[in-house]
Amino acid sequence: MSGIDIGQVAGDAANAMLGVLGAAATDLVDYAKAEATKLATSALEIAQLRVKGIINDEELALHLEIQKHASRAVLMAIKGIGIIAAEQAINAAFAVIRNAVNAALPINVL
Amino acid sequence: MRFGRTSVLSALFAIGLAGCTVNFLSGYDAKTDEIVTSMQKAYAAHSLTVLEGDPQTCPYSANRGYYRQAQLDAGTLLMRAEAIAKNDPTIAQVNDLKQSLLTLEKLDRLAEGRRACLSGAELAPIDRANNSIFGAILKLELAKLRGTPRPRM
Repeated sequence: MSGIDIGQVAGDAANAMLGVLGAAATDLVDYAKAEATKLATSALEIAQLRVKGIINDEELALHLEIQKHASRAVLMAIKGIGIIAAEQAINAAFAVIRNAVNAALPINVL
Repeated sequence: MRFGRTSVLSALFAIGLAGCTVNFLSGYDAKTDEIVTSMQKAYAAHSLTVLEGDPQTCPYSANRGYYRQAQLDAGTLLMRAEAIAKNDPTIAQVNDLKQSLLTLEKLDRLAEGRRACLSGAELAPIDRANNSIFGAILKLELAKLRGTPRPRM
């Protein structure tokens, strides 16, 4: 165990975590932007439908309810993918630590 | 004494890390993927029927069968999602899909009373929203593959 440079292993583990989290964050930011654009477009279209008198107040409320469900489903996707990214980041760090420990010992204990 | 402490530390590492990969969310479910994909296809066909504006096929009364089937499918999907552990985000998404389709049914019924069928302008934001829901469920389900190839369906 004395062959392990704790500082080096911790740095490598942190880098492994950040690599996973960075990739996931990029994907999620792009996804959130695309979905936010759709939501804004839809909100504008719905407002125009009401202004032009094509839909009444009851229908306006139902339209907005559908948009609310869509926003929530998208947020749940972002939440779920974030959880998976956290899980993969931890697993990547574990792998770095495991390799370092096993390399420092005469037998693989981890 | 020194050897003993090292042994204890090694044992703790082994308990903590041996074969250890954490799992905070359920795995990929091919059946969920299959049902959502099938529901999206049925939704697209329904939407096209309404958009075509044929007075024989576009009114709500001509499309009750679609709404009934969509609720049955959403119910099956919800039951399956709830049966899978660590699946809360997908359960919430399926509830949103179910409620969104119910709300669309209400709008379609109101439209029939006022002007026969939903127009293209009305359908555009609805389609965008419902496709976002289908897409969000699939995006999360595919993320659960965690880099492994998608199995053939």
